[in-house]
Amino acid sequence: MTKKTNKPKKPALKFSKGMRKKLMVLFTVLTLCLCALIGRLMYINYTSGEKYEKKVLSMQSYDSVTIPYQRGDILDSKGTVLATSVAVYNVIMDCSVMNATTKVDGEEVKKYVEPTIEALLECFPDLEEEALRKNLEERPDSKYIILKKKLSYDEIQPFINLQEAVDEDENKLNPNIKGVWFEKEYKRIYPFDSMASSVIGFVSSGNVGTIGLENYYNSTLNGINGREYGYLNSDSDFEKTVIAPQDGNTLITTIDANIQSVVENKIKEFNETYKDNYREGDGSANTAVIIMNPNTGEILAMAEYPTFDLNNPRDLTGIMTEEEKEEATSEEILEALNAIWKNYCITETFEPGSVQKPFTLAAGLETGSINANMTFECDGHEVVGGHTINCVNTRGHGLETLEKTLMDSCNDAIMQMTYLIGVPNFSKYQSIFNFGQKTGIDLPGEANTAGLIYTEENMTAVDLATNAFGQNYNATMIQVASAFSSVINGGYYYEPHLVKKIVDANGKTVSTMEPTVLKQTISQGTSDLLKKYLYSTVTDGTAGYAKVDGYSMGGKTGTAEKQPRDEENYLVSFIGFAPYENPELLIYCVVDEPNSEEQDHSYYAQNIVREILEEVLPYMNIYQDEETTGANEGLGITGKDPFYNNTASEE
Amino acid sequence: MAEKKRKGAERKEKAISYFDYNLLFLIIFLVCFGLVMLYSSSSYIAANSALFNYDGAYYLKKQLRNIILGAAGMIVLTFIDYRVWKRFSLLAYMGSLALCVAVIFVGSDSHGSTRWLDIGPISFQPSEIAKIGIILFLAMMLEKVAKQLKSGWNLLKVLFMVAPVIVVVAISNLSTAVILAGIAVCMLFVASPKYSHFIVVGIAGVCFVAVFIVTAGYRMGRIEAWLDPEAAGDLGYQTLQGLYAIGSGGLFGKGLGESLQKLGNVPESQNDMIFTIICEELGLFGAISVILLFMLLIWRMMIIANNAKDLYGSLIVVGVMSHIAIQVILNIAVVTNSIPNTGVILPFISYGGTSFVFLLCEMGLVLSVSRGIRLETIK
Repeated sequence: MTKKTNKPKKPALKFSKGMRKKLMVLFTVLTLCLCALIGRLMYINYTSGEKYEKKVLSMQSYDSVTIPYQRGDILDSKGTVLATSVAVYNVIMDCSVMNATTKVDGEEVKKYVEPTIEALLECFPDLEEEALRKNLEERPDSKYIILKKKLSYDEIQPFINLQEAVDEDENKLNPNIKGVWFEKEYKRIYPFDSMASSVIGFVSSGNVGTIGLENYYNSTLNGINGREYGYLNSDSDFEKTVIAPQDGNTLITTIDANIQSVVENKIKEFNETYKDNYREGDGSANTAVIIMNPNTGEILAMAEYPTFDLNNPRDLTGIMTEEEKEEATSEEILEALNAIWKNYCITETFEPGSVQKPFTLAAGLETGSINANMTFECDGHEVVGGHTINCVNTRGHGLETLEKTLMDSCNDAIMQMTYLIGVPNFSKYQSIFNFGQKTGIDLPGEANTAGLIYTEENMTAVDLATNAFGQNYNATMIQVASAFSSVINGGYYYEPHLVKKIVDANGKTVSTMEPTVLKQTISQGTSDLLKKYLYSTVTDGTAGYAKVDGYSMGGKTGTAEKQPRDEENYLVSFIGFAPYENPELLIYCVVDEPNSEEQDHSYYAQNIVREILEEVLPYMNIYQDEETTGANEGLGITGKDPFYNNTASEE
Repeated sequence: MAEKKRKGAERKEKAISYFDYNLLFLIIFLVCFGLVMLYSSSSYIAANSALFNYDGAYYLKKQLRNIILGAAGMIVLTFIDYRVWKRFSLLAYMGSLALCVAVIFVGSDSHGSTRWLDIGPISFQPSEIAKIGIILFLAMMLEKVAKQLKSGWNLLKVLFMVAPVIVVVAISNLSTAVILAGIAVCMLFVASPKYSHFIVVGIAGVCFVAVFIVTAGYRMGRIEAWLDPEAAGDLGYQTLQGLYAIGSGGLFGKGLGESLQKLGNVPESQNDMIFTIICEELGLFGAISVILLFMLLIWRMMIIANNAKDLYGSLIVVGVMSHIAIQVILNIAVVTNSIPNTGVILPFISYGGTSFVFLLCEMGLVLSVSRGIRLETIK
């Protein structure tokens, strides 16, 4: 039944012949349209394929802009900025935009050229109009011509103001200033110019850290570039997508800018005072100072003379004249630059001299070869392996206890001790104190001294005798300072380091460098004993000039004769600590070839140390712990130096 | 009795055992090809935008969802006798008209323009429904008045009946209105026994467009951008970038996935402009292959229309065929800058929500018509 009702009463109308014909016509028309479009595609490919292909490739660099990251800062331990990156802008000329023509009254007009050139000349007066026009003519399609480099925002602001200026209806006043844009970059700035120059290091173009911390922590400081590209959305509005750059991490160093600056000023004062004193030239070949915390290995200051300006690291003024510079080969210039860039404290090796004596004593005491009750008779010289080796006092010091040996810096007694200590024990302790090995400080270029010390196998009796008072083997300042820290802190050898914390761009801590004990060098007992001897050395011994009145201090002088021996050039030094009971600070000062008639006096170094500590100890909140005695009162950087010639002329 | 019933069923099955597998294959192929191209053209933008959670497959996933919805609709419609819709044709038409009116007043502009209607969690474009509505309605009307179509007046009368929906759609979406009008004209053309009316209309239309361009064209940035995209600045940007993509493809293209223009240069590269990415990646060869596929598709539909069981079925197929052909032609014409820029998507390949679902439903209608063909009539 239902079927019947569903059936149409009339037979269903069919698609007639006429309709089929017309459908065929429609199909033909549609097909022809599609064929025409195929033709159009072929035409586009044939006529402009190559041109468009180039356009596509050229747009890749234009439409996506790299957003530079900001390199991380380097701060001192108190947060003072030692190195930072500030935004600067390059002025870029886009000739293709400036040359663009628009139809005005049926004529093609370049309407951007004149207003833009006018604006450029107004805002950047040192640009030359001719050069700008030449760019437009000779490189009409160029999108990237750098007109000016590294301007601050203040310098480009007038141009931006001009470009963005609007009247009260928000209409642009200068809509035809087009084709100039500003490329953001970061420029490395060192606010203290030359302070801690070889420690901080500098950055070459492209954020490549070249020396110092900038080099050692280059990848930490660098970030990742971002990108910006634009497209049209469904409403044909231009939209920008930005992949934000990741800024680099910031280093918080153990350096204290105040201490560093005191140290540098004193070194400078010394070198300027002694300039041309005996011979033509600087006050010394090198002067360098390390101040560190002996209980952590943190470097508080690391300075040397001469320094260089981190904001202008390739400036050789004062080292080479202009004529010399022109004649010099690039290798010679690089050599000169490397000479000023070197970090004396870690890259230069030298014979340390008598500052070695406490280490020799420590080796003897630790191995039981000598003990605190022994005495030695100094007659002014010792014959070792057929060589006569003199003591400081060639007439002899007489009877020497261990304590007096250090106080007099007696070579004879030390040499006699080496007979008891022997080659195996001595060379073992050289290695325990890390001589001949890198300390692992977080700076590039630490000298490798492995070939500059003797081992058990190749150490002769003469080598042993001379090594025992710091001659005939080489070490770096950082090695001596790190080893000495362990002597006075109870025997803990800390890895020296300059960075204590790394934080990200938002100030969140990325990592903290805890003090690392590398080894135990000596026992607490030996350490206490040596500290007492060193205290006496400053109080009543050869290191008296280093004493800051009212402060308990320990220390040891060093006077090393440089190779070749017959030239009578010396490297003098002082290494000391304060306060005596619980040392909070260790200072090591080296003066290489002081500019004086007689170089072999450690007071050059002692005077510098005393001058530094007089300011640094109060700054570090280390209080006077002794009665003042008036010792060293009224002394300046020259101390009581009888060989300082300019004293008379100053008065 | 039972035996008789079984025999009857057998006979019935024989009568409708034809099914256009050619067409089904073409649809499946185009949809799959479209998915590959959609992923290629959209993944870079999607993977680099916070808007899409940096998910490179964002568009691909949404398109898959639409395809599943559409395929379900297509299957259901394939197995429903299309003649059922005759009764609902007027309702479909009035319904889509109502929705198109509604969108003007309560449309959602969350997508940037008021073309979407939100009903509960579903958001769709009524203008896409209007396409299917107008096809069903015209097929029903033209079948009724097929005999009286010699008169131009009657043609105009039918045209007037669909005019409201075209006008309403034109308010918010001119390009869809053009497509609707195109579908209507094509269906009328096939149903009417005369040529003269359409030649007159055609000439009049061409004259109107020409006069419009000459007199008022320069005021419209769109026309300006069409005539010289390089000088039109931002308005010509999309067209120009599309042309760069087409031009840089060469004969065999840069290879699948190798487009440079999709990396943020061609706006809407997954949408209206997807054909330019096909040209760039697969070259002239790939582009022509795609066009040939569409030719095959409309040829298959012509065959189905010619052999349909009744006029109503034929006219439905003619409508769907016109719809697809017009969209393909308009889309490719736009991207090759043969006509002024207007937003038309490429069927089966461009990213689309409502449009994709209803497109597959239309294909379901066509397949249903093909099922009605009696094999002996094919001879």
